Amino acid sequence: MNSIYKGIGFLFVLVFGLSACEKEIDVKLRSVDPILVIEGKIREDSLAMVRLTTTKDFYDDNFFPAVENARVFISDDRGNEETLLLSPELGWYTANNIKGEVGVTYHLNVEHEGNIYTASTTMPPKVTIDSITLTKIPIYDYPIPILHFMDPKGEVNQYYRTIIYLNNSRIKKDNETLSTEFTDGSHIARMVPIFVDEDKGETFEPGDLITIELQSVDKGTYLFFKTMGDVDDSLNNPTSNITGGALGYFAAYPTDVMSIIADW
Amino acid sequence: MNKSKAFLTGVIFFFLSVEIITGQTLTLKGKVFDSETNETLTGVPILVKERDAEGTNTSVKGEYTLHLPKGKYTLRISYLGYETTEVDISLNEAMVLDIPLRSSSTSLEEVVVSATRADENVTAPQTGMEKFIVEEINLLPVLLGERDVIKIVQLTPGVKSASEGGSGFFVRGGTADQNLILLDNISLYNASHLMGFFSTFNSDIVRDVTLYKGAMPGQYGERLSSILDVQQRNGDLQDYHISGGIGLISSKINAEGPIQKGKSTFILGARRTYADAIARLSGVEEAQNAYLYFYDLNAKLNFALSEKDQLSFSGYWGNDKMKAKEVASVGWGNLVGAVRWTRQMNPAWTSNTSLSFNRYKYDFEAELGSEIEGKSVIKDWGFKQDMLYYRNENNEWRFGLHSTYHGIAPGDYDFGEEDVESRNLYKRYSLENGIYATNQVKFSDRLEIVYGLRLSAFFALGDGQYYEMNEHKEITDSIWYKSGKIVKSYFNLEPRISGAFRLNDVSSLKAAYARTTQNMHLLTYAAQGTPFDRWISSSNNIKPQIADQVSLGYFRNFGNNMFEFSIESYYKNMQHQLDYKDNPETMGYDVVETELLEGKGRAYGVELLLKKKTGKLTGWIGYTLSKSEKKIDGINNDRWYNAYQDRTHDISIVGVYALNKKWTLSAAWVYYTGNAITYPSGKWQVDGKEIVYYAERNGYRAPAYHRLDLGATCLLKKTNKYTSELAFSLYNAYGRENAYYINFRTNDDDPTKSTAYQYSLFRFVPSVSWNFKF
Repeated sequence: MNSIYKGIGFLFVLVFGLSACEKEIDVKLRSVDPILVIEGKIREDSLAMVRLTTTKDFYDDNFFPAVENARVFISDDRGNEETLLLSPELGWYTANNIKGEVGVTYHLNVEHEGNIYTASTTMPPKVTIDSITLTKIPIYDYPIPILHFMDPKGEVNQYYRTIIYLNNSRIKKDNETLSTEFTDGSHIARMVPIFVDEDKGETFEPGDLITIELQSVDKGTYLFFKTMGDVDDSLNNPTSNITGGALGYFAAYPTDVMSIIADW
Repeated sequence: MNKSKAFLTGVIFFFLSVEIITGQTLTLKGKVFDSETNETLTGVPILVKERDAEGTNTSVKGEYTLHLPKGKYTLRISYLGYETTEVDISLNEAMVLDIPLRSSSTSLEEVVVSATRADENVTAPQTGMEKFIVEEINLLPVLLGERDVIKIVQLTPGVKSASEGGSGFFVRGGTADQNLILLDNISLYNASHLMGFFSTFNSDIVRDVTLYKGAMPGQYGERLSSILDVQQRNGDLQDYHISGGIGLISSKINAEGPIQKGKSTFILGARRTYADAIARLSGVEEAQNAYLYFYDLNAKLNFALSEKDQLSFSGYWGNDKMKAKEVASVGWGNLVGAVRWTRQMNPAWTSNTSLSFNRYKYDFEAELGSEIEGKSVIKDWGFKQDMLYYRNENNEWRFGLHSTYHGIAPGDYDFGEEDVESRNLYKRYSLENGIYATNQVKFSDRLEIVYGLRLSAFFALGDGQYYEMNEHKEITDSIWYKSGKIVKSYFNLEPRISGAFRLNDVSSLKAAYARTTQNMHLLTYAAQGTPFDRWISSSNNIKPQIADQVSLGYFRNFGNNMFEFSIESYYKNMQHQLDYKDNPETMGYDVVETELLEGKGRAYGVELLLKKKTGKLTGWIGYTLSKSEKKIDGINNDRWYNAYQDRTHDISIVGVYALNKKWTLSAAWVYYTGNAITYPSGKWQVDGKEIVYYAERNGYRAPAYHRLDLGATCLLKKTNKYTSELAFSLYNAYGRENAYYINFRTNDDDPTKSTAYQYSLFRFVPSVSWNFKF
């Protein structure tokens, strides 16, 4: 795995004091026709929202404008259905009525340029955070937050995402997913590290606010985010839970949030 | 002058010159023989130091003849298995000089198929074969001061190294697990230390190394692409020696000698790296809790039980450890041992019986808030019975049976500290057998062939849970098989043939065909492979891999065997090649077969090699032009795609120059086209992050790789009792930033754009070591 090789290379450089370096290089890449990207989110007690964009060439800029001429339709197994409308300021298609509720199954139907894309997801029950503690390990300067929660026994709650914020600003990471397939029903203590890039002026000091959000997600959502985090190693596109050839995910999830003040 | 006069003058000059030579040269002739057994030795190269281009080899009867002008000379005789001997002579008249050679380590091994003839390049019927002796290996510069057998092998045409510093290698377009690496005839699952930066071979204990590049005689099998046969040497029968080396990164020490003078010997070797200990002591803060080391031990005992019987024990134990204290640690290691009984039943028949044990494991431990521990183990028990029938000097037969009982425990994991939950993947047992018969026949002075047949019989066995799948790779049934019950059997006939047809004294044509099969498969997730990759055996869902290879080559020697030239082309067809499907479940998955796809592969190429074997300057230039492709349904839209190991050009230039009695200089330059690699065809944004998008597998080329290594060895002192030398080397002498891996991501400084970043590892790595021998 690339990350293992990176880790080994780093250890070697460290231990053998050898010179290693990283630099920008010029690589010519081919293009493909744009592919539709769908991000469908239904948080508990929030209105359903869907973002549509397309892929771009690698060297294009990183502004991904919303796709406008699409029809976005959501229905649930309670008999509700709604066509979502694009909100220009947000860049997302939003619902006026359909909100997230535990146990409900939602269906997504997107029509764009003659193609149809569908997805289904069921919202798992909410799991609450017990506590957040900080631990210090020898090789790292900063303490590492540990999230504690109890995983309910049974298949309905097997998959989670842990999102971490420092002073209300999101810390983006590759590995945010967690599966309790093998630790079902146990007390989970999961490290959610905060990586600080001092070169970029990032800081992490006592007194900072650490917030962790625990999402309970279904298997399709978990697979998407897990394979998305692995993209650099697997050299494959993430496994989408949307049919029809679009990239992206459709997720319905409850969240629990807890904050602590960092102290060490 | 007119034509006839010119002709006459020419003729006269010719006779005069001949007269001049014969008038002024004297004949020096004699025999070369083994000082203990008095047997004459065939094909021994004799070099006249003062006359670089001259030299000769002993004939089949051990006789040599030299024509030299009157004067003083030093004859230098260097021959495998014997101490290099120098003889000073004053040639004043025709002389007969018989030269005894002393065994450097009296070889108690079984009869070697053919003595290493100086013209083996042209005469040896088995093609696609390269042989290296340790003396050659020790002169070349290497990374981090370690003299590595495998790094030398990677410098021959047809063999490509898997990654920077790594000791995995690809032979003729095959993958790294398609090479069988044998240490004293026991196979090693992982022949490298520390992710491949060092190999498991202690070059002080190695005697010689033979590589078969796919065309292999019947006694070899079990892997598709190559056999790397590493033989350890025996201890000295008469005297005790201690030798070793101390370097910046690692050290080693060896001891050998007789257990009973003239009858039994031992040889032991030990190595360890300690750069991590030095880094910790140096006070470098980041290094305080980093542990990165390996150690290994080699042992070989030899007993001459009687005039006809020899018994030997070979053992190897090696361990690697990488650890970040209180956070995580991983380790892996090999433990192998064998006992071998050789009996010379009568002058024609020799029997070899051996029992072996091979255990490979890796383990890891991590503290990620909760504890997790895991390990994976392979245990093999092997039995080999080989018979050698030496009918006459033109005809030799080999028969045998090889059997290995494999036990694979792919993963045993424990989670949690107080409430420990265990997960144990099902173990897999199998019995792998090979029965073969090979005949090497010299039909005439022009034609020699080695042909044979190997039958591979593989049985997947209980006890264990086996699964049935449908075409969509979904599990339809699972059956428990009791211990020893046969789940599935595979029989494959593997015909082998290779021959050399001599065109004249100095050149020949060689051709070969071989079918090989493989029943142990290594599943690599990332293209480069790691020691944590999973081995699986053939089963009801996994068929044996099969390869058919044909090769044709032209071989020529120049300058009385001083130069060897060869050009050989090959074509290899592979079936039942495995690969992971897109986004597989890899860790902790019992039915890994649902994550695998099967298809075919093909590889072809041309290898050129020019070698200079004698003189002050020796070395070789090798060039390979090749292609390796795969076609697996479910990958790359079912189209042919370049295999990761496909590299169009591969060049190695190696030179060793004996400057004077003290200094020997060496250099090695390699160049190869980058691997076939998957680069993005676009990008998209999700959850506020940019992600790359892939459209084709291995559709691009990594940047080309090239590097120069320099080395120098200074002989400090050499007496009968004590030798010491200093070895210097500089790896990547012109500091090329070769791409170790390439990453595509949002620009570190400007988040509005995306950039490709290249990470390179080693530039200008010097090393010094002091080696000694008592």
